[in-house]
Amino acid sequence: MAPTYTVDRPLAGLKVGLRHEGSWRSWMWIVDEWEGYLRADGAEPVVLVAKGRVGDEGAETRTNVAAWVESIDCGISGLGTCGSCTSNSVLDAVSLEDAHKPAVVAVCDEFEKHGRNMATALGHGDLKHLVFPYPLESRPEKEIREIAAEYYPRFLDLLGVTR
Amino acid sequence: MTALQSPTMQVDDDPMAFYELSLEQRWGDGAPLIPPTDERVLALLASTPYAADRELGLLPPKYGTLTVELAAVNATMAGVEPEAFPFVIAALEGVLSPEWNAYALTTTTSSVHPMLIVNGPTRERFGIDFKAGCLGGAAGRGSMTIGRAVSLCLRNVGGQRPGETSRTVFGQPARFGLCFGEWEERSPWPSLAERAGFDRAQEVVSVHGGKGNFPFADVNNDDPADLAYMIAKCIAFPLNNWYLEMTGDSGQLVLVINPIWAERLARTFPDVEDLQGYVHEHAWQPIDLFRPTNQQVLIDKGRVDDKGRVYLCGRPDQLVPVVCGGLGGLHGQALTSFVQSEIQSVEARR
Amino acid sequence: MNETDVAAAVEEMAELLRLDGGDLHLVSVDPATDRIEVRLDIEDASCVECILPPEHLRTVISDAVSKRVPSEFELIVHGPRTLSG
Repeated sequence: MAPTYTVDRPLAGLKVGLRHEGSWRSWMWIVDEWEGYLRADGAEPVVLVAKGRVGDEGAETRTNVAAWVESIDCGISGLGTCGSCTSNSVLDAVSLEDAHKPAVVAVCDEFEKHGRNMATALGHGDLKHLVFPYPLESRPEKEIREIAAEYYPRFLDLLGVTR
Repeated sequence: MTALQSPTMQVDDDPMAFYELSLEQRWGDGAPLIPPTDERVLALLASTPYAADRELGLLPPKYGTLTVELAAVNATMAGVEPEAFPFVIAALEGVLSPEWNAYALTTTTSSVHPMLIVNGPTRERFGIDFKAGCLGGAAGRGSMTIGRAVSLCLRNVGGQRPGETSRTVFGQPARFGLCFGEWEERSPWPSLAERAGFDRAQEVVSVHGGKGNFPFADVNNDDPADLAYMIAKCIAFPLNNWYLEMTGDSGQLVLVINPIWAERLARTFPDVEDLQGYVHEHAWQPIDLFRPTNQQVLIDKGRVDDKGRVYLCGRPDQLVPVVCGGLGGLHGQALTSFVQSEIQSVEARR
Repeated sequence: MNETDVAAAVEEMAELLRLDGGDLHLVSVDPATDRIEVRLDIEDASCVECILPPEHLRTVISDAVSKRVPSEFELIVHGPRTLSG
């Protein structure tokens, strides 16, 4: 099984990747909140929008994922709240781990097992999962942003950020 | 003589015994299977130019190694006629193509599954249905077994199991296996395989990631343009996968057109590109049709044009006509799109 | 679609039509398209009114063929009256 990695240092000065697919508003609101928190903590958020996976769009996505992985120190890939989006979130998190960088995949609890299955199938059975309640998407924005605040420290803990 | 590598087992020489074992050990699809004896598997292997130990690829979701031999074992269980085995290999090659995106399609909550469309001179010979009942009920051996063989490979080699490794909410009937042919001789346009660059004499399998069969009917429109317009509005139904995407630029929808409609449509659209263009032009819904939450999402994704229209997909060629079906007319079908997958057309090699 | 069966069905109908001076000829059978073309000849018919009205004649020919050809087919009848449908 491929190794996992942790940051083992404070957040300030780190480039932290946040990956979404442009599909789930809930996750995009969380990413938006975390961008602010990261900056406040002295880190630089680097947001990736991973679009389609086939055709010209797929080629562009693969290029963008590779560039994102190259540009950051650590990151989180989400959101796994359906079958294929969980698979794709895991795929991009695995890309980060393959580059020997701390990686977390964000999934909803209904899809945690699926996420772990796919990570295992890709040889990354120990990939760290940040598990949100399901469903997330149907909740109002205010509630989602409160969830973002609640889960930010958990995200940092999974990355191994020291305070 | 090829030496088979797969493990063997002794089973009681009783069809029910093998069937019940397949249910108990979960390498069946719930329907009776043909025991894959060495003789039967070797008969299928004799019809492909590939060596038995050739690796076709790693099949998601569990990335099992799919060899030609394993494909032959599963195809034997499905009841595939030996000389039809090259169609199974071609279909699996399509599924394994990166652009078909098996990684996502085998795990999604969606119902999507490989839907096989066959072209070439041997459709009838192998019982690949393309006339009445071709999408179900005609019961040709090829139609009932080739798609099933692919499904068994996904299950037994890829490890695809609903509720476990696949999050499919409903599955669909095609998950047993769907394989049908194009009625090329009654199509006024070049066949699907010809449009993909193949010769009419080649045996070709096109693999479409289809979410299901969406039927529609019309008894009123004599005007071909009006019929095409209504088809366009049908396929642009609001809760469409295409409307969930940031763009409509990936994927295809297969437009299954009966021969009577095809003849009628061709009077106005003699070139298939004209039909595709017309249907694409009218395959949109007004933003006001959608509920406020959906509206906002579509607006945020930039899917609404300056006339308030939400187009189904990006290009006319994404709407793929295939002529088949009975002579009763009246009906068409859309094999709707999962979107994040591209149809793969592969020659069945002999 | 068996061409012999189609020919036999058409000949059965033709025998009936000949009683009134008409005739029915098999023009073509295409198993690839399931199209059957026949030509109705009523020039020498002694009693034109005895030949069934077009819509009925087509049905009768189609039924005769269906008895021998169980699968679907498209019947095209060429003749002095509009019979194709």
